Amino acid sequence: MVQQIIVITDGCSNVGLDPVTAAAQAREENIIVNVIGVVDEGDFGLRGTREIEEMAKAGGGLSKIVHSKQLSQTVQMMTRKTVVHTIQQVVNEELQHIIGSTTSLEDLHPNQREKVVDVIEDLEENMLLRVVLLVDASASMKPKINAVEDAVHDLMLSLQAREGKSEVSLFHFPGSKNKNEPAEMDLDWSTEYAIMKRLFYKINMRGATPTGPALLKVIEYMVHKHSDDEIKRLAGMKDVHKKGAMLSDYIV
Amino acid sequence: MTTSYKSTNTTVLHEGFKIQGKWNKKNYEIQRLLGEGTSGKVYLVNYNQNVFAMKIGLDEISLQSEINVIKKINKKLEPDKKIFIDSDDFELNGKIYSFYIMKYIQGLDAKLFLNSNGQQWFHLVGLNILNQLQKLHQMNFIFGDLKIENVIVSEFGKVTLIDYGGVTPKGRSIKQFTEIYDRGYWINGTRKADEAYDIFSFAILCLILTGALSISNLTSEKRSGSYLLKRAKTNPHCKRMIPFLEKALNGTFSSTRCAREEWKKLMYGNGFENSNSIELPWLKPALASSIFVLVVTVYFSFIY
Ligand SMILES: Nc1ncnc2c1ncn2[C@@H]1O[C@H](COP(=O)(O)OP(=O)(O)OP(=O)(O)O)[C@@H](O)[C@H]1O
Repeated sequence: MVQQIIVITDGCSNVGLDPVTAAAQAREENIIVNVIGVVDEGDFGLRGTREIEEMAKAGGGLSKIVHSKQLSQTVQMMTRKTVVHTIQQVVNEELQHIIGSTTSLEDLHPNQREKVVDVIEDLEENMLLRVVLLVDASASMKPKINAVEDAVHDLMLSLQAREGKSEVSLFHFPGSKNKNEPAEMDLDWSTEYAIMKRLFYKINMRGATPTGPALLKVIEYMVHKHSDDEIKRLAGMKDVHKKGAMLSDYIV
Repeated sequence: MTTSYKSTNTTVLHEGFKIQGKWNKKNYEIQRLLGEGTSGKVYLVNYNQNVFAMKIGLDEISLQSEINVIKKINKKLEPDKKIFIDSDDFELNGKIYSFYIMKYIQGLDAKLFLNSNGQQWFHLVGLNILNQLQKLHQMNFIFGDLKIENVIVSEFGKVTLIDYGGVTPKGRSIKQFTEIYDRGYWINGTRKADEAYDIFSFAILCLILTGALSISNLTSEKRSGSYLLKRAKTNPHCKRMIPFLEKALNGTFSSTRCAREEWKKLMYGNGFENSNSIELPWLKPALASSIFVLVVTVYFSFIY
C-alpha cells in the first residue's frame, strides 16, 4: 500500500505546530508528504520556499513551486513518483536480500533490469493507493481554487484508470465551519469521480494558515480511518509482498 | 499516468563524441541532436558505417519501460523491419546515463509534411496513421501519446510513429499522454488504454492538422466533446470526414478496424468533391522534374 498526502498551499504557515515536525511524524507512520507551492506570478518568497522544501524532506516526498496552470500535471507527477518511490523501496529490500549491498538499478545488467522494471510497473499499476489532498483555503488562494479543482478532477481520472484500487480524500485548511478546526474534510475516502464536482463552492476563504496542525489532523485520519474493511487492506499489503518476492525468481 | 513535463537537463553532446556501451561494448559516435522531449534527448549516431537514432533518458525506469515495450514489439516484426538495436549505459563526468539505439526515421512531422507538400496529402497520411495504430492494437498495445510530433511522415506519405513512452498494454492506465490529445482532458472518457483512446487522439490530431482546433486559445470552459465537434463542422477541410470524427470523438467505433474502414470509405467516397478548389502545387514541380529526367536520359543516350 502507498499512502501519501499532497499539500497544496500558496504561502507560509503562521499558527501552531511547525509543519516540518508534522511531516516528519507522517513519515514515521509510513505516509509520504509531497508539497506544492502555487504562485500566480512572481516568486514564492524565500521563507515559504524553505518551508515547503523542509516539509517535503522531512516527509520523504517532493516539493515543487508551480504556476496555477501547471498544477494538474504536477499533482499527477508527484503522485506517480511517490508510488514509484515506495515500490522501489520494496524492490530494493528484495534486491538486497538477493544480491547483497548493490541496490541500484544501474548496477544490474540491462537484461535483468528489463525484468525488474516489468515488476515495478506491475506493482505501480496494481498497488493499493491512498491519497489525501490537503488544500490551503486561506483568502489568498481564492484566485487559484479553480486550478486546484481541475487538478483534483484530473488526478481522480488518472487514478480511476488504474487496475489497482485507488482512494482519494480531500481536506481544506483552516476549517470553515468551526473556527477551532485546523482542517475540515470535504470528501471521505472515495473512488468516485462524480462526487468531486463542485466540491469547493462551500469553502469560505479565511486568513490563517495552520499548515502544521492541519497536517497532523490528516495523519490521524489516515492512520485511524480506513474506507473499506481492514481485511481488504491487509490483503492488499500481503499481495504487495508476494509480488515483491516474485523478484527473487528473476535475479538469480 | 503522467502528463508531459519539460526537462531541465541542458548538456548537449557535441559532434564526434564517442560512446562505448558499458555492457555490450559497442561503439557509437554522435553526429547531431535530432530532438528533445520530456523524457530525454535523441541523437543521430554512427555505428558500423550506418546511422541510427540514440535516445538518452533522464529517468532510468521510464527509459527501461520504453525499452521493454520496443523489444516486445520488435519480436513481432519482420527481420528487415526491426526498430530496436541495442540498449546500454555510459558514464560521463561520474554520472551513469542509460540509452537505447533504434532505427533512424527520416522525414518530417505530420504538420510540417502537410505544410510543405500540401493539404491534399491529409487523407492518405490519416489512413497511414490508422494503419500503424491498427498494427499496434493487434499486438495488444495502445499508443497513448499520439500527437503531431510523434508522427513522422516520409516520402509518399509513409507514416512511422515514434516515441514509445506512452505505449501501454490494453486495459491498464495510459502511461503518458499530452493534455490536448487526451480523452480525459476533454471530459469525454476514461484514461484506460483501449483502442478508442488512440482513435480519440487521432481525431484531435486531425482537428489540429486541418486547423480546426488551435492549441493556443484553449480555456477550460471549452472542454467538451460537443465543442470539438462544432470546431470540426466549421472547417472546410474536415467537412468530408465529419461522420468519422463524430464517432471517433464520441468513442462509438467498436474497433480500430472499423474506424479505418470508415475513414477509407469517406476518403474515396467522392474524389471529385471540391475539385475546383483543390490546388495542385505538386503538379508543376513534378512536371518540371519529369522533363528534366527526360532531357537527361536523352542526353546520356547520346553520349553512350
Ligand atoms: N527514431 C527516430 N528517428 C528520428 N528522429 C527521432 C527518432 N526518435 C526521436 N526522434 C526525434 O527526437 C525527438 C524527441 O524524441 P521523443 O519524442 O522520443 O522524446 P520524448 O522525450 O519521449 O518526447 P515527449 O516529450 O514527446 O514524450 C522527436 O520529436 C524527434 O524529432
